[in-house]
Amino acid sequence: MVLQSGVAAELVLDERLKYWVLLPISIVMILVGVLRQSIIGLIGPGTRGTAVVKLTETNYVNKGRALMGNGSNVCYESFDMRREYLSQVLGEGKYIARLNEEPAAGGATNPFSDPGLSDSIMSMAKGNMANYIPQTLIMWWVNHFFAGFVLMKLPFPLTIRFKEMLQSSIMTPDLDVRWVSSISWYFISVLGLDPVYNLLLSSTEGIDMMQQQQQQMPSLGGPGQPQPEALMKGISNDLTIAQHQCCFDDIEKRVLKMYA
Amino acid sequence: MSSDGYSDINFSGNIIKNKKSLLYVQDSTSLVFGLGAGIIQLESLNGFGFFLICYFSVSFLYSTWICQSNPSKYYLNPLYEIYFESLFRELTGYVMAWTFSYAIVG
Amino acid sequence: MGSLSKGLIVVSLLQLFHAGFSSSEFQQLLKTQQLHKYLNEAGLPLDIKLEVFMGLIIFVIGIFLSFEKLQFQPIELTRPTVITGEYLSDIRYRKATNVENLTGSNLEGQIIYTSNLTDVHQKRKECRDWMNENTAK
Repeated sequence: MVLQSGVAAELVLDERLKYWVLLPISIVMILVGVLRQSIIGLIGPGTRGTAVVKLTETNYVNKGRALMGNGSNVCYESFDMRREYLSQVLGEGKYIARLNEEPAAGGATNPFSDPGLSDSIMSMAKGNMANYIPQTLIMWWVNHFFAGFVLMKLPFPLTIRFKEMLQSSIMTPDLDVRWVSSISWYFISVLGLDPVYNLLLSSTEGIDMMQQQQQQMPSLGGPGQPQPEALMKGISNDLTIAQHQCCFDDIEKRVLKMYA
Repeated sequence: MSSDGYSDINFSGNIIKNKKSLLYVQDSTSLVFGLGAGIIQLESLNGFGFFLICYFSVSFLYSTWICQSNPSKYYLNPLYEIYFESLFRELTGYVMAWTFSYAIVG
Repeated sequence: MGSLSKGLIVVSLLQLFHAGFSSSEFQQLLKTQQLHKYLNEAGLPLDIKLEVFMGLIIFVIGIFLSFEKLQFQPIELTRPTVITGEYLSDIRYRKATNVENLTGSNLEGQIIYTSNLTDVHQKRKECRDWMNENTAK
């Protein structure tokens, strides 16, 4: 199928190579990407719930922080009332989540025993499998059926080190690296198909976004984060010593000055 | 835990929306630029230079036309997000389209 | 996406396809007729190059025209349509919530409207009573 023409490094390739090798590989890769997206959507986790006590805990911590941040927007009495209540509640640890009787106190808990965490690890493993299995399959398919001939000429030169990878099954030691076999088209499209998927599947991107938002949800007491008890204690201490300056103090004077 | 965290809060929904529309513009244009580069049979450095010129002019056009010359209103870190964040991704997409049309045409 | 931008994109893609076909024919001619020594220096004919460049420019314009100034339809149809005069949405919270307020939608709606806490039997009873009162006459 490969003809050597008169010019030294110029090969004339059969036209049919384009239509029966290049196009099929491209189409199959795009379709497999679409299929993978749908499969990930199907096997992906449904809506994950969070225990109510956990939410309460998070919300109380956030409430304490919000009061610290925005306290200047309320008058002194309101601030004082809120501060007293929150510092007491947080200091006591009234709303710390207790899920099904904590295991032995003092002992380090096994991070993998948390059901939510193992769920997320499971879904991550599934996602990885959905990524790797089709890739290996396509690679095997390309290597098995389209091996042994030069498919195309790259528009840019490469160093000689790529020769082994890109011309794997061609027995010509002197051929320029720009003439490559079909496996290199596979590599190039693996790298470059992201924009295509984005354009084709932009309507299903919503699933990804929702997952991202779920992952961003602050989970107190997760591995590598301060424990909620300590956090609440800290906020409670901060609140008791917080200085309050209300933005409404002397507001009449300031307004008059502004428009005077 | 200071008041800084609350002084300018951003709306995450709109950040994601704006990023998506930027990505749509950059994806579609760099793919089509790749096709064009293959059709006029650009080779090696010419092709990469063509990509850089086109990519940056499209990004510039985006920040003046779509962002109405005020990109900091729509992006947290405008210079990085509009010009550099997806440079490598678009480069690989461009190279794919370029190689494809170069092989089909040539 | 307006019809103008769609039209421009279609035109530009057709142009690119046509240019690609011409370029492909030209390359075939070069290879089969052994015209390298006459034509290779000149490169592609100018009209093909121009066609590609015009196609690319038209495509970019089409893509950019596909952005329209954002409009929001309020939940109550009697209120006017909210037009922000921008192509993108502002990321600052206080600006972003302006639109929500003008359209009458509530960002915290899923927390505030606790429809699952409504006593449905009570509501139904009220509705039934009202129906009985008004239909009996």
